[in-house]
Amino acid sequence: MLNYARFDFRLRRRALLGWSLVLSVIIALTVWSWGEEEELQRLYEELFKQFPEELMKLFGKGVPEVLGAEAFYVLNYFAWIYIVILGAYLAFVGAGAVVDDLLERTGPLNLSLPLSRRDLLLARFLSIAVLVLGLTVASLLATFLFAALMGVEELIGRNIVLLHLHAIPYLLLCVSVGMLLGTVLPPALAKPVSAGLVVLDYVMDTMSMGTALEPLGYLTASRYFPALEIATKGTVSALDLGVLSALVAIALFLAMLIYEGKDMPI
Amino acid sequence: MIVAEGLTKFYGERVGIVDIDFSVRKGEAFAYLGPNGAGKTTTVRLLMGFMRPTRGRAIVMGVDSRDDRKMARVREEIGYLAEDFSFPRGLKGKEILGYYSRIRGGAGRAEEILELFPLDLNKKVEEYSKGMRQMLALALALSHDPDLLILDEPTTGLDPLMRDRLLNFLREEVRRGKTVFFSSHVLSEVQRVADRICLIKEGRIVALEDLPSLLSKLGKLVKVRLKEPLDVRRLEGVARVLSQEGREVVLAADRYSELLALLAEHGVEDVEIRNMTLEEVFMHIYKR
Repeated sequence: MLNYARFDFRLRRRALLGWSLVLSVIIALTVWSWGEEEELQRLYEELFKQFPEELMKLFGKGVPEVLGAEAFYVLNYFAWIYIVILGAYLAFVGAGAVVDDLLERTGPLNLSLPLSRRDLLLARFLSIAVLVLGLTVASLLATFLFAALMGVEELIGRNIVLLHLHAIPYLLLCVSVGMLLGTVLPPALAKPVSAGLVVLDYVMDTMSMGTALEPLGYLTASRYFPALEIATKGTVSALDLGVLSALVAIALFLAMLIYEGKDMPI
Repeated sequence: MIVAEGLTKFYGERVGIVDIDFSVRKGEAFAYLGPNGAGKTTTVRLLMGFMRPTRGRAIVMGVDSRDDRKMARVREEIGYLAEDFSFPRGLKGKEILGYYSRIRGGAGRAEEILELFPLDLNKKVEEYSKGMRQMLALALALSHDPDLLILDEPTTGLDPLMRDRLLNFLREEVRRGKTVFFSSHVLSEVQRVADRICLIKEGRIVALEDLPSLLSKLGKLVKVRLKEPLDVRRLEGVARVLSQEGREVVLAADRYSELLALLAEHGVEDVEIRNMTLEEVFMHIYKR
């Protein structure tokens, strides 16, 4: 199984490099935008105060009490690029781990290997998990590097590390939900629907904050990843981590179970 | 090595295969034939455990193909080639061969197979022609020296030289005690390799016999040019009329003396009697 996971990761190397590059550019722009000038930072704070609260929630995953470098980082980079777009991509990739054998006709080679379906899916999950770890390291390193170069000391610290570490179970949940949807949806729909679901989940979470629809927010996965709070206060809830980890295990287990008995007309 | 018992697959309302029963013995070359859409690939998918039968079962090397975990172990001993497949993109031939062989746990015969099917392994697979992709897939299916080969249209895309090499190789493998289950459209190739033949039509078996019995099943082929046209209905009972064009009649018969006596009454200009080819038997069975 590990041999297959290594092979599968070989196929994902280009994605790791591409995403690392894109994330680094966006991080560089974010850190550079914040910069060292206090005058400019006050201007940002004034500007964001003018924004409707819903817009702040949507783009910042909450409304920051004070707009510091960490909140600016979440608002400009982390919330939409890392949580939503990267999460959607990973859900897309997770669904692809099931349906690409059908869509790209690689199934005859992969499913005729001496690996059970469960092992095959687990190996692919592990290979995507390595991709997630690689992106975590790349994003952290880029943040620290550009923050050091541009003198934004607040971004070189524990909070940003915690933020990235907490993102790992969240991103793995995106992967395993993608895998689960890959086993139950028609192949042509599985990837786009999985990606769309991550966006919908995030929008539902942020838009329900502090409204009558608040209970709906607790049904979303991203509610258990309070990125703004972690980045600004450095607090991590064991419950949130537990919920995300349990959901990863459940989604992956169900995906493996269904995949084992699924007809693969390859 | 393979036993199919009442193997049936429906795709919703559509029939895939119905009540397929056969067994493939160790050291046998078993050809599975049928026109497009007859159910050949469906059968292969069920044997490999890619799909579950609607009813019935397939036992491959002693394991029920529905048991995925046990089938994983059995697949170590199977060399499988699909009719339609793709390689993962962006990799060179040698990377594909290396990775997949490592996952299979060996490629003891890779050199020998690559001598038979020479390939530029430093090229990316996207640059390969259809024939080269087929050769790489064959190398993947054969290089771990499996006991059972399940090959769906193995000669597709190969040039005549490679095709000839593959057929010789398969025959030699059978001589070495390996078992070959294969489907093909090219009946002359089947005739070269197969010990037994299973013909399927619309998802059902219409003939399952060893090659000599199948070839003699309809009798010999009799081509006759008569002096004057004949009402062929008069020949019923002693021969089966395969075709008639004017004074030329093609018949399948095994009671030659009665047939020739009947034809002689009408005057025969020319007559040819010979064994039927597999293609002629195939065409006759499918036109029925």
